[in-house]
Amino acid sequence: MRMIFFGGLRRRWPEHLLVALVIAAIVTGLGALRGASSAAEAEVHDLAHRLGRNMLLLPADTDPADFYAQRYRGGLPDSTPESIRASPAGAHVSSMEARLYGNLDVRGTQVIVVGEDAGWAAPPDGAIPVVVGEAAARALGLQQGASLEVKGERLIVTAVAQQPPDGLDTALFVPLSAAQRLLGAPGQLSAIRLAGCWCRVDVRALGTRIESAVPGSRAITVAALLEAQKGTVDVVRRYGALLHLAAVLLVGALVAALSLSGARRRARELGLLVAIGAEPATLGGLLVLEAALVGLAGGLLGSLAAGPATRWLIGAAAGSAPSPSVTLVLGAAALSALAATLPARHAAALDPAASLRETAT
Amino acid sequence: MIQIQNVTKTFQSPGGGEVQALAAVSLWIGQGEFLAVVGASGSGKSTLLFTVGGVSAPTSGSVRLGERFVYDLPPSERAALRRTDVGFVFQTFNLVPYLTTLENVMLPALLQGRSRPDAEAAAMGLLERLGIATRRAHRPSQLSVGERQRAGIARSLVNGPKVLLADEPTGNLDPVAAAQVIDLFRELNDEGQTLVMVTHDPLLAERARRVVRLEAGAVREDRPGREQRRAS
Repeated sequence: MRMIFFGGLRRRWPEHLLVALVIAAIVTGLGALRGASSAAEAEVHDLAHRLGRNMLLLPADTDPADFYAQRYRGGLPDSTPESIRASPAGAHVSSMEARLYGNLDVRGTQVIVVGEDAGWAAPPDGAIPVVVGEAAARALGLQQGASLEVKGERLIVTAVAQQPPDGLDTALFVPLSAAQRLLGAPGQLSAIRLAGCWCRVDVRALGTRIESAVPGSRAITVAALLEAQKGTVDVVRRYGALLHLAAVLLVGALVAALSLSGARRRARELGLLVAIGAEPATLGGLLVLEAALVGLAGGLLGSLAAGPATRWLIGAAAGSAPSPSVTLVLGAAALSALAATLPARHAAALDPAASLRETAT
Repeated sequence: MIQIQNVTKTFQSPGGGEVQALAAVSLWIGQGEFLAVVGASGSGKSTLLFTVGGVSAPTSGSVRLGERFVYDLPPSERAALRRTDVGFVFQTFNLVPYLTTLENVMLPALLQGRSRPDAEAAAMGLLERLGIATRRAHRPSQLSVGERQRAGIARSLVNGPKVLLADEPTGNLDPVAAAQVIDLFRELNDEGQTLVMVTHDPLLAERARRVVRLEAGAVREDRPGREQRRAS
């Protein structure tokens, strides 16, 4: 039977290859979809994990889009952290980073000044310590230990940061009080970052409570963003289920058609095999096995192509995508076998005499 | 050896009606006989052959091969009977196109569960006897029609069947090749092989030891072949 099985496969290789390639394309598409969807989901989870613990408190009249476009304005009093700590909401906040952002012209170059309380070591001679972002250092010709004069204040570069906070490599990072002096905004803050273990609290409700504790403030949380993203992922998953169903139907119809046409074309050969002693059920099994092998080959090819396809679809984010599922490969083989079952049973039930008699008398 | 008892076979015609291919056929074919079944097209010759060979179940009646009623056997045992007791020769040869001549001849032996070396030895012996051993590695499309039929006969003999059933074995052959096939059948029969041959060629039929003429699915004549009569 091995001779017949492999001989049949060899003889009809173009059809088998074509069907295997179509199955491979379908598996590639499904694999890439799964990969992209999983990567998006992983990204949302990662975002939730990283940002879900944080909250950004801005002056109420600040548009977050302006804030992220580095168009800063003051607004919150620098007593805000104390107000929050004193409020019932403060119990949930483990750390606060008060910041003052502003734009300043230094030696003819526009830079961002970021004031923050980050445990600064005081340099000698009452100079202001400054950490300079790499781009700003390049633009201003600064390196570690250099000093510069800004608005009558002497600043000493304590470090040039290659990876400055928030990616602000055009910024000068200075103590909060120094920033308030340099930017002419005494007692003011642009933003406060709040962090805490908020796994068991409603972060949006907490934001509202903090807004109440600090009138004129606006709490930006990632919860709403995450909900929207989860919604998107859910929609993709729902359509993914429909696509899977369509793929199952397509592969099933294709393999059934292949098996049926194969059984019809090989009716004489199958009739002969029955006449010389093969069992019809065994021949039916061969057709099913043949279809399963085509499905398996298509599944394997598709799973190999799914990785590059995912990378092509979503680029670098594909790194977090899981490798194509074994279920898809085995599913393609099992589905192909299942789809070939009816044609195989039909072929096994054919009257061999009818297919063998060319001159029936 | 073969007992056909009141066998009828009815087909559904594509038009919806019924066609009776065999009508209460009863025949006894003894061990070592060479029987030719003749008749016009549609007289039921091939149907009778496939019914005897365990391929096509009769609508009623029974077929006994040796001690066993063929259609009382479960499918797996009937398949085993076709492997061991029956050899088929066809008008259109029915060689598997993607196998070599040797592989085609080995096929029934492999289906029978014989080892590959054993099957190969048996097949080679037959190919040598039939004069086509040099064509063992060729595919059917590379053989002449006479060679193809000899390969088909070799395949039918590889498991040493009790009965050889030939359906118009010379129908596609030129007169010389046809005569060679009949000579071979006679030779096999002389060695004790039971043969049932369906043919529409009355001259070839007369070379059999016994001739049965079917008409509308029924036996109309059952007599010795002309050569047999001449010899006796």
